Amino acid sequence: MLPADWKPSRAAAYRADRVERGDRLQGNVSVQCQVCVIGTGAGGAVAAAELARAGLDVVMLEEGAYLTGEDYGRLSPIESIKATYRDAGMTFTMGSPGILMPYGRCVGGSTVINSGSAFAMSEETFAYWKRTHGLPGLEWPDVARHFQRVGRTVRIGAVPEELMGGNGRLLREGAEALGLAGEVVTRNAHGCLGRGRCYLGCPENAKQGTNLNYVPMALEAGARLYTHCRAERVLSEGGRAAGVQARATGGGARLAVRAGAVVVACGAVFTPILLSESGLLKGNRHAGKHLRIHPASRVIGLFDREIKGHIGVPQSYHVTGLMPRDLVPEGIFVPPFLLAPAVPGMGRGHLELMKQYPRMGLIGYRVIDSGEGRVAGTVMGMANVKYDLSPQDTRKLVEAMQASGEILFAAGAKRVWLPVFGRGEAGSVDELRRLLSRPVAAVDIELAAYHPHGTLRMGIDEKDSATRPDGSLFGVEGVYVADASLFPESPIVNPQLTVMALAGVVAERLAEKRGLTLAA
Amino acid sequence: MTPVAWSEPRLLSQRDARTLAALAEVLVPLDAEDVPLGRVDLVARIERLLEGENRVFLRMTRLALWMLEYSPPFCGEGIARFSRLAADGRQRCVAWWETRPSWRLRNIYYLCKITVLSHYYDDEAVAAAVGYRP
Repeated sequence: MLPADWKPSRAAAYRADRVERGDRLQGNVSVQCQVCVIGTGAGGAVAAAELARAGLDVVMLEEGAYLTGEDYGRLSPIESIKATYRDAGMTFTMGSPGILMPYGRCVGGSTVINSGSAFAMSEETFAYWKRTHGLPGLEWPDVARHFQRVGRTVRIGAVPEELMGGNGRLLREGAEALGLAGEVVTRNAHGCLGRGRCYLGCPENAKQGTNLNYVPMALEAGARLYTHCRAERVLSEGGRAAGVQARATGGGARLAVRAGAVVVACGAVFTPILLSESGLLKGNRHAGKHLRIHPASRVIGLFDREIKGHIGVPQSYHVTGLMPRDLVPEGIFVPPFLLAPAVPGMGRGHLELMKQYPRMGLIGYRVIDSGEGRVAGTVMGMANVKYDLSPQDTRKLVEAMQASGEILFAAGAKRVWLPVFGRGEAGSVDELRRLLSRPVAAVDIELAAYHPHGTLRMGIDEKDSATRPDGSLFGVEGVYVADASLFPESPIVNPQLTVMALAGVVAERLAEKRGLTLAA
Repeated sequence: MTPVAWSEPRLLSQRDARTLAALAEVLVPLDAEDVPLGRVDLVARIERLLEGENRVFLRMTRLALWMLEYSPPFCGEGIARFSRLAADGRQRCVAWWETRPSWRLRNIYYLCKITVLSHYYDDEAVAAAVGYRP
């Protein structure tokens, strides 16, 4: 475990002797270890820490930089995005319509830039996974044990009332007025000051991304970390994992890692791409397929009173009453640079509306998608993610949009702006319903997605899935997956904690094969 | 020519910078009393974002600006370039783009709009002027 006087602010300097920047390597380097873990986000960091603490020699590879609150406090919002998001957050799906889908690229991965919402998948959802995909050897008590283990480490707790912020409160007020059940969000945050910058890296080191806990734990247990290193190939010899070939970002030195086992945790888009480019998915019929993303959008409301949604936790309350219909409205809020393009008008009119920023309320919503996409390699260095929004999911999005608009009106909004081409603004619930009563085309909705999953789903055999329930890849020994690619179906809730718990299971199974057990 | 005085472009071209400035003047009032447009160096900010990233994003940005620059004939604004139109002509041109039935065309314009507005409102003084005080 970490020392008793551990402070998150020390994370970047912690065990500096075990952290090396790939872009500062002098010439090509070759290292040897027992397990190489690619990625340091929710899955990779947990797997690396558990394996290192179990006694294995672990090397972690991370494409991004090791940053902490001190760094985020110095950066402007867009500079933070450039430092922590892949392709500066400009990544999107190819399909109809194109959907903005950002990914983290830093030590901690998406745990550094998400809202911090942390929910354990329900036993009922897991039972559905079991019913539909078998998952032999993976039982709920094991998964639940890892949820608890992770929950203790990342310090999960409900958002305190004083940090809910005006936007969360208005969502609660509106939902209660309509008789919709909802609850305060649980998060992995400790010492939060409610500065509303969760998506840009927490300047207080309050949000417990894996850069602040699991990565330092792995280093403390003897693991080595190479930042600024992009894995190019997972190597195999005779049907067994042999290591990883990586290159420093910027095209510098090469790093060769010899390892008997490789854990790939680059997320549901980049893990299948890396494995495919390594030639390890040949004949794997389900690899890269079954992509689900929880498509999301938002509705903006304008109020007479000040909401000051930017103060407090940006995602502090969500409506649970619509989950049976696969709809999840959540209070979210964003800084002006993200909100401005969504505000209508131009010139003086746009500026006057932007000056109402403190009076704006924002509800984001995501839907549990039934349609599927796929990851089809890369095009010009970018992930080629094919995803067409299905008609059923389009209807769900419109339903969620209408519900969110009605919640805003119930909370006192005077106007609501919709993210649909040609249906811009509603001044009342009746007008909102009238605007959305005509069919809405998928391509006319402004969309984003933050939860890609399912592209190397686990299951019984190769006829149904790409990986086994212990995370191992079919077709090659010693290659494991430990991220949201493994999900056979949606976890319904935000996936962060489920990724972490499954990564714990994967690490435990891998350690057991070496005759080791996880540390207490 | 536009009245804003920004950095010399390094990744974008002079023409791109002119188009950007012309669009910015439509989206943000030049005489915004709190933070005048000319004081937020959009060219430098956008280039800082694009620098070192996949060249595809630079090419996409430049292509979108190029399409906007040469769109006036399709918008019914004659053969002049976008950056050389009078203010009201540019406004009509932007309105034309915003109302295209084709989502692909709208997205081309939307990329330009996001580029301008997100970088303008990323400026600390501009954000504070609209009430953002974290």
